[in-house]
Amino acid sequence: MNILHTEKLCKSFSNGGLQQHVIKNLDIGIKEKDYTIIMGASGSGKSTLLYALSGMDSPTLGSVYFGDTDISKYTNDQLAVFRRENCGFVFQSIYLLENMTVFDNVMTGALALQKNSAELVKKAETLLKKVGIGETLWNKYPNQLSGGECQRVGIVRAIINDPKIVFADEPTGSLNSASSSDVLDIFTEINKSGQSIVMVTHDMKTALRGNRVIYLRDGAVIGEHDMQPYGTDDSKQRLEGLQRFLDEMGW
Amino acid sequence: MERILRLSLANIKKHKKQTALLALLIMLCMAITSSAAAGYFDMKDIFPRVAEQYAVHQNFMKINKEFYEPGFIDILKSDSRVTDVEHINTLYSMKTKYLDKTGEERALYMGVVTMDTHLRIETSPIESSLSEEERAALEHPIYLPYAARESLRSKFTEGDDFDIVVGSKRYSFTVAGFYESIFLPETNNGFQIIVSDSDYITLMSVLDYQDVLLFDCSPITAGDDVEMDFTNTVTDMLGKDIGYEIITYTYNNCATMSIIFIGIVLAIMMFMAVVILIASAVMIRFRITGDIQDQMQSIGVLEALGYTSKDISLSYTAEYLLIALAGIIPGTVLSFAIIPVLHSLGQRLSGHHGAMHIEPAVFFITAVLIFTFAGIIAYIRSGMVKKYPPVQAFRKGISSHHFGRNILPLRNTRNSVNLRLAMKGFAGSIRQNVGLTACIAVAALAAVGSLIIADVFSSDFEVASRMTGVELSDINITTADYTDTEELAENIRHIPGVKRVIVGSFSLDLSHAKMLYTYDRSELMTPVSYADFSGLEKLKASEGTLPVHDNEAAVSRMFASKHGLKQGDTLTVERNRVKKNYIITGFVPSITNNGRNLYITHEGFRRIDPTFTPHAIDVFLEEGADKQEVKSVILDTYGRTISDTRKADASGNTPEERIRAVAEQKIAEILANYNVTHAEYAVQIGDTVIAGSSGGFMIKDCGDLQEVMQTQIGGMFSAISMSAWAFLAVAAIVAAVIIVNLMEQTIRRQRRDLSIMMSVGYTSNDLMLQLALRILPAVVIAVILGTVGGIIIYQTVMAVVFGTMVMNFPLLITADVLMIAFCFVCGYLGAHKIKTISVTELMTE
Repeated sequence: MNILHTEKLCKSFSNGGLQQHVIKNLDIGIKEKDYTIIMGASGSGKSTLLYALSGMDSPTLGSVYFGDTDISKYTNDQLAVFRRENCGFVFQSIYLLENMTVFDNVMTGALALQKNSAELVKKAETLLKKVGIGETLWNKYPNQLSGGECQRVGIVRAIINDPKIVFADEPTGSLNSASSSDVLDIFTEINKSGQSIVMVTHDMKTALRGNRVIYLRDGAVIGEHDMQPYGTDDSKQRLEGLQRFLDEMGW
Repeated sequence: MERILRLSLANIKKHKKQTALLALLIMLCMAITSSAAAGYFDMKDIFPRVAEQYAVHQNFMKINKEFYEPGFIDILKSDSRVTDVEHINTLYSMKTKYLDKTGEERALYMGVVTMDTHLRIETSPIESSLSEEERAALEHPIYLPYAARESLRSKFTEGDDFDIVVGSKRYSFTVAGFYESIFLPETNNGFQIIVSDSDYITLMSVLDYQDVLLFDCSPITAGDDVEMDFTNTVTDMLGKDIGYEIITYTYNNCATMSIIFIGIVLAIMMFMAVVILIASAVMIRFRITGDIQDQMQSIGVLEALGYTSKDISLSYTAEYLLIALAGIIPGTVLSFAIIPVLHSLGQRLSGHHGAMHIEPAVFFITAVLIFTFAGIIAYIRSGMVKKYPPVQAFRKGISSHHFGRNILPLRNTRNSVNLRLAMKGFAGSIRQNVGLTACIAVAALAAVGSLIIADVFSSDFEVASRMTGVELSDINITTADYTDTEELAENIRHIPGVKRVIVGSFSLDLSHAKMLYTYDRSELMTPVSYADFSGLEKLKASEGTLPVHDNEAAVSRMFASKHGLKQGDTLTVERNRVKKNYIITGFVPSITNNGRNLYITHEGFRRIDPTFTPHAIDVFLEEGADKQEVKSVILDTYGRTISDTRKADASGNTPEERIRAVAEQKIAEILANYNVTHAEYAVQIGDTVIAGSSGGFMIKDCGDLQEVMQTQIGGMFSAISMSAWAFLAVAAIVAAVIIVNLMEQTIRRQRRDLSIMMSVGYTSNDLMLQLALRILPAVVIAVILGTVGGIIIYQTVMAVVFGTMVMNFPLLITADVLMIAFCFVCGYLGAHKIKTISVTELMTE
């Protein structure tokens, strides 16, 4: 069952009077509890699609449905409410608030939706510990942390409100390989706990974590690859299958 | 130079809105400063210019006919400072009223002259929209001072009816034109009106006949001293004090009075200009700091390309000089629109119509000062560029590295997260908040000052009535010489609607006034005496206490500051060659009678004049009681007033009624003018004897001090009050501009953080609320500081000008709350630009 789907989704940008059509009549669905990977060459419209799906941006034409609700007609403030109630977002550039401590960054996300309580503080502490951010770092500022640590804080901020769906825009793009692996493990954990994930990536290793890959070219879906048949353990088969699919797509 | 200018222009282009706001402030500053300065130079000489052009003589001394003696003219002529003296006659009354356009009677002092007499006082032409033929055809033409057209609530025009009411008589005239009256041009001292010779004769029967001595002095400013010496000589000559019957309008006095009210408006304007200048300086500092931080990397690139930090510093200075210029030019143009308005207001407040005189140097000097000020502030602030050599600039200085203490951690959030985040934001930008507090504080200070003045000069006189220096009761009764005032007061106390009565010495009828001379200060004082001052409502000491014992006295603050008197000092008072010392116990706010009031108890008065008996009753009414009704009951019960009877028609339906009316009129006349305490009459017609006595005349006059005040100074007060409201609006605009500018700058600098907040689900309304709440602590502190500062400055200024300091604290508290709310709303609306922020900006970074 789709938690999110689009109907004839179009997104254009105006640049110096020229219209640039980034997404063209796109119809896709994101299944509940699914781990969807969006891939494509640079400029293919991956991030644009992710922002449109997550309610960060409104489409130029067409619709985005969250369940049966068309969110494409929402105002900016309605979209903000939609995001805090249903979505979590992890950015490539992390985007922590520089003038707030680690703990306050997490609480900023949490308090957007919930009233402060002992449970909420405890939950933030638990999640931070779970992603490997120990108590000694809670009162540090982002510029005192490594990139990987920052991204893990960003992930906690994204999931603290138990969103139904977590969007990630190249979450490991600015991390080294060790940090990347840790971060991806967290996403796998989140997915296993029942939350849908939609992730944009350029990286095959990252894509291997998903169970469905959508490939975009010039704003249109040109192929889909289902990795569920491979199971989760047979990494060689998954890798070969994905490799083949990407070769077919001209990767 | 060219490359510096290019950098400046690029910066201006980049921040058009902020540039426009700053230019707007500088424009306001230039317009207000130059208008106020030009207005001062224009108005300070309005009376001298008018006098130079139209006055036949420089000083005007009027003396009641009953007290005038032909030898007076020789006393003046014998004074070596007097160069010319002329004697004329006029009519004058403080009891006259006119009917306004709604048919209501309004009190207005009036001096009446014929056209010939007018030309002996002044040569000002008649201004009229009626042709000479039309004016000649009028049965009862009247010419009024310009103030009748401009200051009275009913703005009279040519062809309107103008009814003069004296007692129960009414005299109808038609307004034929307006003119410049040199000595009686406005409602405060009264109007000098010109009537035809025949109407003058008619009015002679009801108005007081005055002998007027017009005289010139050398030097021109010696009039006050000449008047004082003249009064002393006359007192010596007659062996009695008639000082209260001599009223002089000297050149000095008229010149001072012509500027006093417009002076208040100009002072507020200057203060407002200083406020805007300070606000502009803080804004320039804000912007330069923000620009340097925003453009740190560009600055690094420029430095790497070979621009010195001085070049960059100069480019900022040039930018603000250009902005200052962009404000100064339209500001100068705007001031040319304001000056005629000020001139017109000045004419309205002074009653004099003089040609506008503009001093061109004022504009040049103001422009240079503002331009230099902006340049210096910009140059000093932009010096901070030197702190960032290229490499450090590339790294955006070190400001982005935050290692500070975590203030207000979110884990402790109890209530609204928006409030918590706002307070956190406030605590994190203390430097900016100091600047904001300073800006808002000066704006609040200006607003509070304007508000206090608007309140003091408001039309209901609530505050002003506490500054008059006399007790403004609802009904003021002057009793006849032989009346037992205490007994009458006791009787009036029981009339329905009367709350309480107080017996005192101050009344509208000056014939009872026993003036006191302050021997060691050479001033003639009007005594204000009560048995016990503690029961008064409006008359309070602003410092010290009112007198309690017979050797104590209080004086006005104006008098005290003029003579350097302190509490505990001794004042020697003289009357009829008896001198007594009084200890000064306190000071009273007093803007009337030039502060020359002496406050003593009845016992204190009897120390120097054992014959003193109080002849005034202040009647205070219950809330909602009808003043006219109570007045009618008093007059019906205790007889007609002497003043009304004197001037009433001696009419009746029967011969007996007519005889009684004429007889009572005669008795009223002798009671009023000849210090007669009792009179009887008996007329025999055939077998019938018609007899009567003065026993029915217990009341000499029954008046309304509040109404007199309303008419005398109501128009001026409302003009000043309206000006103060206008300046309050300017202060609000300044505060709004500062806050909107700050919001714009904050949003520009924190665009990324705000996008992040939006991405995690904060709505634009949440963020607008946070930004508005963030400035609130600074605003609250600023408003409190501004209010305290405003009160201190107001007290100081008013103490110097009027010797008063009356404050309406409930109003100030309400105003503070409103100011805080206004700043909050400005902050909230000023943050609307948040709505233009899209979360997708994070994608493009």
